[in-house]
Amino acid sequence: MSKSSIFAIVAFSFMSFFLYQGLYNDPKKVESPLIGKEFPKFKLNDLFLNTSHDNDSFQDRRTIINVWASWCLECEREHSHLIALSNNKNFDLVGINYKDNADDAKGWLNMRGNPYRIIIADFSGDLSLDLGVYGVPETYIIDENQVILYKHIGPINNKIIQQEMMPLLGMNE
Amino acid sequence: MKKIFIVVAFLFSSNSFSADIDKQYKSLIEELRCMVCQNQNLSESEAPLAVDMKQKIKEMLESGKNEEEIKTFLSERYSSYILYEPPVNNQNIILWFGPLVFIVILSYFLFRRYIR
Repeated sequence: MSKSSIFAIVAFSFMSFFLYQGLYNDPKKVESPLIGKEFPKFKLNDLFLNTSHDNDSFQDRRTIINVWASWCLECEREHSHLIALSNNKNFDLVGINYKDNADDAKGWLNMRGNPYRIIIADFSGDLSLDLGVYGVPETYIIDENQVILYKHIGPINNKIIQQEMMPLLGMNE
Repeated sequence: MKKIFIVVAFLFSSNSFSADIDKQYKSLIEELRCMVCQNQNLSESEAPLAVDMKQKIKEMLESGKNEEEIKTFLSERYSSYILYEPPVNNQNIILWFGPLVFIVILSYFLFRRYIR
């Protein structure tokens, strides 16, 4: 075999390797640069109560933060999982209601059940912009010091909960 | 007369100020990706998130932030994927310089064949 045909084969395999990888990459999944950073500072109203929330509203423990909206169809798909997660008292579950209106959001939860301990009403989308939200639903996990450990874009499912989220929540299931 | 001059000067300056911002704004939204509809830039997109981002960019420009600061602000939140011209780093260095290396290697082989 001549040198140049070896070169061609090597170059071809090299290219194929890269292109093959690309087949299994989801361009919708962009790794968040916020992982390892602190949860952004905010001050926003509660969805139900006439109170406001800021970073002190988080309890000093592992917390799932779920960004959702009543207009979001995919949020419906993951809702039963959130209800199930809310029964586990080893971690906290907080909702961020994204670019919604209060009546729609409340009605949506009345029909489906409310899994969240508190819901932060981000109607302007400012907090979500700071969080880098671009495809609701999105789910975050923060630790005791409000450092972001994890981000998932799109609805969560059993596999994601068991394999990715539970270990970060200190559950060895 | 002096008063008129001041008023005119003020009008002129505020006008060129906002025209400058407008120019910066237009060039910025051409260079930033809409994260929802990923093959469009912000200026082409009317997705709710893109509209919010454009509003945010406008506000930041008006409060005196420059292009670099705004790009940093957005890529800190949405990763450098949001920039159509991402900075060179370890992850994408092969994309920036790969083709150049390829051409150099190829021309070396072609050159050798040519002189033979």
